[in-house]
Amino acid sequence: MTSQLLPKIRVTVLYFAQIHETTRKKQEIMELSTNTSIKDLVSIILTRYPNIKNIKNVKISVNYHFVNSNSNPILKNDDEVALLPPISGG
Amino acid sequence: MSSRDLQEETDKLETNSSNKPLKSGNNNDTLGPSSSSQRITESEIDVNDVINSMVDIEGHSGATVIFVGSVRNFGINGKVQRMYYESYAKMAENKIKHIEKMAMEKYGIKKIRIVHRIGELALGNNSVIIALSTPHSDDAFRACKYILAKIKQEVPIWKKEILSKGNEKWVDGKSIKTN
Repeated sequence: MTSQLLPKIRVTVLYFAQIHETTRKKQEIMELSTNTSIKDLVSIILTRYPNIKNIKNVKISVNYHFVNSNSNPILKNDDEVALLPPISGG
Repeated sequence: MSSRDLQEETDKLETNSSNKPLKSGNNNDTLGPSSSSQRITESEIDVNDVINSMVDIEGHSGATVIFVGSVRNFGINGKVQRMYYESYAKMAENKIKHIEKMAMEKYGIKKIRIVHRIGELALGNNSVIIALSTPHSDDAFRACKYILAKIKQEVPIWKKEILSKGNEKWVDGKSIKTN
């Protein structure tokens, strides 16, 4: 079986504030292998947008719950992942 | 491992996203926070409406405190002309609901409304309002300060200062508290 025939999942990735100015988009859908972990996805994002590394204290959420960016839970189809830089509301 | 953009679907999501706040606000005259009341809005905050929602004809509360935050003409990057606010709307709504619940338990709040405006605001425009009523005034003042601090620590909202000569700078904020 070629890699193109392997099962895939689709994940929505959201970028906010300084981060979307780096990515030049507020969100995108990524098609990933079914065994992709949060850590894997973060690695893909940082490879694609290396300047995100210059933004400190970026937090990751999956379906509105915070997760460790180095964690191994596997992403599921239709998950919503967000990259959240330091906040300044109020 | 491969990934690719699906631009058509992304465009569709841009116009129909869970991240998009509702346009209009609504009133809520029941005790306590309402699950349907809107916390994040692109609309102008109706201060009088929020104050009126604190009226308690049964007299459970003896004190109402209102905090209104507005756009100041100077910021950390210099003279400000306008302010742009962005949020992760659904998470922000959930976080504010959680803060309301915590504050109600901690301070015995009888009524509460919190609204944060997003989008581009002019100088003097109201960006956030916190209104709450309690039986006693000490609790009302302390609860208001507690809530404002929690909003700054936990609610995913970002602001960008629009300065003179077209310069714009995101305000360096606090790392969002995740637990």
